[in-house]
Amino acid sequence: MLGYGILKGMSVTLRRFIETYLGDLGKFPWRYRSRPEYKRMGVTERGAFTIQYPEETLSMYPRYRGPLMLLTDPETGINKCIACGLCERTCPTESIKVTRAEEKVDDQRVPETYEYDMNTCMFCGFCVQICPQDALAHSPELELGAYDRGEALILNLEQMLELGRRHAPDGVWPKQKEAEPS
Amino acid sequence: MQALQQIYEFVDQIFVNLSFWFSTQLAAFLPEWAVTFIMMFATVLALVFFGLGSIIWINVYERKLIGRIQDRYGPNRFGPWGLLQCVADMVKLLTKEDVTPSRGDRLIYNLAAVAPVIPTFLVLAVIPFGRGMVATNLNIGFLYIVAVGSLGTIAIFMAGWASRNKYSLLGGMRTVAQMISYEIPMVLSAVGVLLLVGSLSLVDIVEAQGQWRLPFIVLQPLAFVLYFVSAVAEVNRSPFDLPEGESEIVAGYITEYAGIKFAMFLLAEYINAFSICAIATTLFLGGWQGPILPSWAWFFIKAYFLYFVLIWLRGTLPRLRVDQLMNFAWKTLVPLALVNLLLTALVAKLVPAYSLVGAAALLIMNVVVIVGVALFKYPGWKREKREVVLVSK
Repeated sequence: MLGYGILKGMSVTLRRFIETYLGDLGKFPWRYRSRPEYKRMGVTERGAFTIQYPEETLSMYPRYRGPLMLLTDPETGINKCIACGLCERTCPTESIKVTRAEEKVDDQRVPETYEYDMNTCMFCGFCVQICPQDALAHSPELELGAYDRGEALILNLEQMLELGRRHAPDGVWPKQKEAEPS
Repeated sequence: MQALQQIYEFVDQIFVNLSFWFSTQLAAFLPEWAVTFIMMFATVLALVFFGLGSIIWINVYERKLIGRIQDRYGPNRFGPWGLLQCVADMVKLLTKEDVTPSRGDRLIYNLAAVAPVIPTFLVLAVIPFGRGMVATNLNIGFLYIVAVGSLGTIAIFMAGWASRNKYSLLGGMRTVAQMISYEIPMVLSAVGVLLLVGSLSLVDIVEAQGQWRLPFIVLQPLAFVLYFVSAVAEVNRSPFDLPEGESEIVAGYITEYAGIKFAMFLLAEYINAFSICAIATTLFLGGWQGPILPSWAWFFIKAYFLYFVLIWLRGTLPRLRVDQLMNFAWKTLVPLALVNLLLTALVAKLVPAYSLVGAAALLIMNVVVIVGVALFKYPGWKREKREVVLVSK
């Protein structure tokens, strides 16, 4: 019939239009409130699917290569790193500097300083692959912006441990440890 | 009851009274000719500021609604709910480099950026925004709208020609073809309404709908559809936005324009879109007539509802091909408008005016025409389903 397709299309768009408002009602209080993590909408869910970025953030994939973090063993509360220096030596861009502490802690070597320079790091992941203790991991940190190069992008030991405690409190990252392709 | 009536009267006539108060204030110390002169300028200023001001939120309205139709939020960052988005756009456009094509026709190129805005503001002069709220009650109002409205074509063709760019020229040529073709069904469909009213003045048209006690959309549904479709084509909006179809010819006639000149075209487009909604409201939806709410509120509710329909169409329909566009105008809209005009003239002569019987007769006439055309063009009523044959080897 003449114009049937047009009317059908118009009804579809009108339904989508109304459903965004209904979907918003379902998300009361409003999406603009800060939420730690955004869950992707399923295909059957209705409503606007835009991620309101600064307020809502997606969690990154398990194998996302973010800035490095140092993991802490939750049982002993000690840094898993034994300051062997393999990461420093394997780093192609020489972005990592580790020094070993003189005294052992709980019969384990620990690093005294750890300097990780994100200015030069290219997130190749060699250091994570080579780490014998699985103490080094890529954090799922997304917002790496800084106003200038230099100090702001150099992480020290305490900052890296803090990243590790925040993202991997149980000392394992990614959550399901996969076999890295060698 | 009396008090309510007075409050309604006050709110309804607030703008008219404001202008009257202003003129009496002026008359206290100025001669009569000076008051007339100043009031003319004040009216013009009010219309221009209305046009410019409405852009501020028509822009946001359109972008937010089209966003919702496409399952996303529109602009929602600048200002509360993104309402100040237009300011951000303007700042962006104003700070852009102003480029003029070196081989183009400089004078016409610059003139063409100003030209489209003038007719759009001129059209607003005869539209009755409320009871008594009209800048000039021209007795040839609709003729004036048609005459002034087609000036926009020249501006667009000037822009296309002066840019010295293949895409611009193509866009300009398309505009001329499209706007001239669609002007004919637009005017012809409105003539049916003019026949019922017996006057070209838009104020008279609105008042006649008060006398019929029905908006003309009930009496002339076919004419309304024809008018609206051809008016959408007339202002180059989707699905008839071939002159600026970005998938074929970069941006059509505005390819070479940037910064404030581009903003002028955008401005003209938005105000044009609003004014066709306003004209359709006046001709078919009863203008400012309506219960309870003040007259100007009714006018804007109806006009912005029609604007919503425009956005809705834009969010739904894909762009037409050029040949489809021309076929649609000359093979569908023009014959239908002619048939409608002929039968309206016949029925309006036979039945008594301003009566329910007359309205019913006109409505039946329209339904008969629509059903007749549908049966004539698609005899099977429902197109039979095409059989899908899967080729098997």
